[in-house]
Parts: sequence; C-alpha cells; structure tokens
Amino acid sequence: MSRIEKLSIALAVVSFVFPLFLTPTWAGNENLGLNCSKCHSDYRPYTFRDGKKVYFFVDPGEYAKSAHGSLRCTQCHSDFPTDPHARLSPTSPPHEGVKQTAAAMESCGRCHPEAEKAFEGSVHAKTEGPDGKSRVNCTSCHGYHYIMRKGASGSTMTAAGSTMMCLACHNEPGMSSVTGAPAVGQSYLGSVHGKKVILGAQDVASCSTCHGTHTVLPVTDPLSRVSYERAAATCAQCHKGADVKFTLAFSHRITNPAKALTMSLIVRIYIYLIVFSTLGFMGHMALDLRKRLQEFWRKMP
Amino acid sequence: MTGQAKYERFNIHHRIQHVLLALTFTALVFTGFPLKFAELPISRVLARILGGIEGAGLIHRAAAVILILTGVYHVVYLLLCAAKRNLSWEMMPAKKDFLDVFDNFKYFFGMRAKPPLFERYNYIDKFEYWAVIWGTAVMAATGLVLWFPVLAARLLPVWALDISFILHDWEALLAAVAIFMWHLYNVHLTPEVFPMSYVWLDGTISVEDLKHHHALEYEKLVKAGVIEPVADEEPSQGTHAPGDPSPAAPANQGKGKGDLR
Repeated sequence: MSRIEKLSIALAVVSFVFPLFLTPTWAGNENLGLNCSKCHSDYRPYTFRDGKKVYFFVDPGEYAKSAHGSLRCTQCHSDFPTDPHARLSPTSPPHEGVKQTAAAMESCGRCHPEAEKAFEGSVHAKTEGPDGKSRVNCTSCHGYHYIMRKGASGSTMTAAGSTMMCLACHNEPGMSSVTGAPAVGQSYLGSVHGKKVILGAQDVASCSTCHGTHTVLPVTDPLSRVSYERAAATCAQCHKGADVKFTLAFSHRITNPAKALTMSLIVRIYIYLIVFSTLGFMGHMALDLRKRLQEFWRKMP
Repeated sequence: MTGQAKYERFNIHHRIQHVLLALTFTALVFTGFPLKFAELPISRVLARILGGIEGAGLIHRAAAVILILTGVYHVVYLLLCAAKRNLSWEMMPAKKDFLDVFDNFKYFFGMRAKPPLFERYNYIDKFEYWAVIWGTAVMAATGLVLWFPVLAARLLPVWALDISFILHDWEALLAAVAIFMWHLYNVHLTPEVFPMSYVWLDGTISVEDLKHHHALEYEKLVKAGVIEPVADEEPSQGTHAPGDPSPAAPANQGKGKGDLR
C-alpha cells in the first residue's frame, strides 16, 4: 500500500468519524435553533433558585421528524421575540407557553386559519381543559412539538389515536365532573365501532367520524352532526338509508332509562344463567366421573 | 367385540345436520370471540390470524348463513317426516326426564344401585337439543338485526333493536359454555365413551351400547323385531343363536322393570 493510499484512507476515516464526536445528534436540524436547543435538549429538569424543578426538554430528533420540523421555535413561540428568559424571575411561575389557549389559537391560527375558525364555534372552544387552567385548544388534542403528519407513523390522527385522544377527557366519570365532558368513552368502546377500533381496524367509525373534528357541537344544537335532526344523515354516511329510529337504537350513549334498565336486566339474567349452568354442568360432570371411576375400580379384578 | 350387531341411531340427514352445525358453530364462536372480548390481548391475536376483524366478520357471516340454512334443512326434514307420518316425538321433554335427573343424582350418591333407564334420548340429549334450537333462533334473529341494521330499524320496534346486541353477545357466551363444557364432556371425556363416541360419524351404535345407554329403546326395538337381543354385560360370552333370544331377554326386562316407576 502506497503512502498516498494510506493517507487517503486515514483521511476518509477521520472525516467520517470525527464529526460524530464533534456534533450532537440534532446537528442537522438548524431549524430547532442552536440557541434554544442549547438548553432545551437537556432532558434533566432545570432547578430554579427556589427549588422548583421544571422539565423543558424538547427531543430534537423527534421534533425534526414532526410535521412542523422545518419551523423555527419562534414561529410558534412568538411571545419570545427577543430574550424570553428576561421575564422569568427565579420566583415567577413557570410559563405555560403555547399551551395557553389564546397563545395556541394565535400561533396555530396563523398558518391554519380555517381550523381556527371552525374550532371557535365548537363546544370545545368554550370548555375548560383537563388541567383546569386553560380552555380546550389545538394542543389539547393535537399535542405540540411532536405533531406528526396525518398518515405518518406515530400520527395520532388514526382511528385508535383519535379515539384515545377524545377518551382522555370523555372517559372517566370523575373527569367529566371537572370539565363537564360527557363520560361516553366506555359506552363507545363497548359498541361494535369501539371494539373494532380496539382490535386495530382502520376503516371504522371513530369519534370524529360521527361527531366531527374541529366543530363539535352539543347534541342539543340542531346544527350538531349528532343532533336529532342531523344524526340520521351522519349515520347514513356509511349505513345508507339510516333513519331516526336507527340513530335512536344504535347510539352508544343510552339516554333512555327504560332501555338502560332493560339492558342491565338482560345482562344480569345471562350472568346468572351462565354461572348457574356452569356450576350445574361441572357438578354433574364431577359426580358422573366419580361414579364411573368407582364402578371401574369395583369391576377391577 | 368384533362382528357385534349395530343399530343405526342417526341417519344420514341427522349426521349431515350435526356436522354442519358443529363446523359453523365452532367458526362462529372463534370469529365472534374477538369482538365480544375486544379488550383481551388474545382477541387481537385471534383477529390478526383471521385476517383482521373485518376478515373475522366475513367468516362469521358466511358461517352464519350456512348455519341458518342448516336450520332450514332441519325444519324441512321434520316437515317431510311429518308428511310421511314418520315424525319422531321422542325429543319432547316429559315428566320422566325430571324424575330421571333426580334418579341419576341418587345413583351418583350411591342411593340407587343402577342409573335410571333411558329412552332414545335421555335428559342430557334433550337439554342439549332444545338449547341448540333456542340458541340458534336467538342468535340468527339478533345476528340478522346486527348484519342489516338499517333494514331492521325500518321493520322492528326500537326496543327489539335495543336488546339485539346484548342478546347476541350474551347468548353466544352461554351457548359456548354449554357446548364446550357440557357437550364435549358427554360425548368425549366421560369414561363411558372416552376418547369419543363415534355415532356422529357412522351413525351406528352397537346393540350392546344401545342396551346399556338407552335400555328402554333397546327393549322397544327388540319387541318390534328391529334388532336381535344381546346377552347382558358379557359380550365375550359369545354369540347366541338368532332364533333363541329367550334366555337373555326376559331377564333383562325383569331387571329393567324393577327400575321403572
């Protein structure tokens, strides 16, 4: 091997390997901004002087993969045009940033005006979010740093992902008393649509298929997709020819107390039937087996 | 035991109906299970094996159609038997069945020397038959509502639609418990027939088994001259002359009558 060859191989190795030590993994993503990521790519909590610990970790790699990976921090965090940290005295509460309703609506609405407009009329725009500090806003459902493009792996905008998102508020009865969100999650998961979602079906009615996305309205509003007036048309998207009776019978939310009572009664009757017949079968089987074996022993020479 | 006399207990129609029922029932249980127990991890696995929950649904509906057609076959068969004045009423529950349950339990607990004598169908057979009839009717009716909900909403009152889903759900579980526990024990696991009773395949039962399990029918058939009587309990004793059944037969009948009420 000539000296030139040796030298060129060494050069090649160094030029490939050296940058690995020099640059962090997020080096390729200039958009995250080296200034912000200097501190915000640290996964450890930052401890304020009063002892309060705050996590402000933003995963640079995951952010780069997100739908907004090409945007600079300040394009959404526009309330920090110069030095955001000047306002943060050691004792001031940690800022809520874009998660705050007004900020989120403004930041997201700058690029997504139709969504902002559609959302503003919805029941969710008037609803207090689960944290009790801000109203429901874009980030409540879509998240923030790691919003994936629809259809990309990791996107929450799938049948299962969007259902789980709605269930974050609409599932637990306790939660519903705080936020006023109707606790309909379990009844949906018990329906055929819900069970199919659990089993991984994609082409199935999830929450938003019937209730809509940005403009969700209460059932009492005639303009709601699930109102008495419009529900039949909503069901008819898939179940051609569905009428009002169809919507009343197959809705997952059972409002008729007589229906709820009948259903629980039937379930109870079947549980008793199954338990007692199982006990009966097993008793009969055990006694039969015991007697046969007794006879068998008796006849053994 | 070779060359023992056989009696055709189930004819070809009975056997075809049973095989169709067994295959479709099993398919229906396994394809319906993931939807009923969607929250169990095994359901996801099962659904994936069956080609996703949509694939499972497709198999479920195909099996349901075959099962319903089997039910139609059964009814038509019974109607044709009735037209030929040949309809059997032996599956009808009778007072004797309840007494038999009682007597059989007495036998289990040693309060009786012998089990009760059964006719063509004992109380276990009758229970299973009527459970299948009831179950298939409920499952077919509610299943059709779920398959064609729009049409069902036009034709049926709201309350009928309301309960169809949970009826389908829970009746299925009851039926599965009954078949996989009760039926499979009685035709496979009980020492009487272990590992399996073959009557569902060739339709025949040996006259000895007939005498043992269905003593009253055996007597009836002997009296009618359909079958030749066999010696009691001792098949190795050898074959007796067809023309001379008298030594064995009266003794059996005497024993049988003792247990009759």
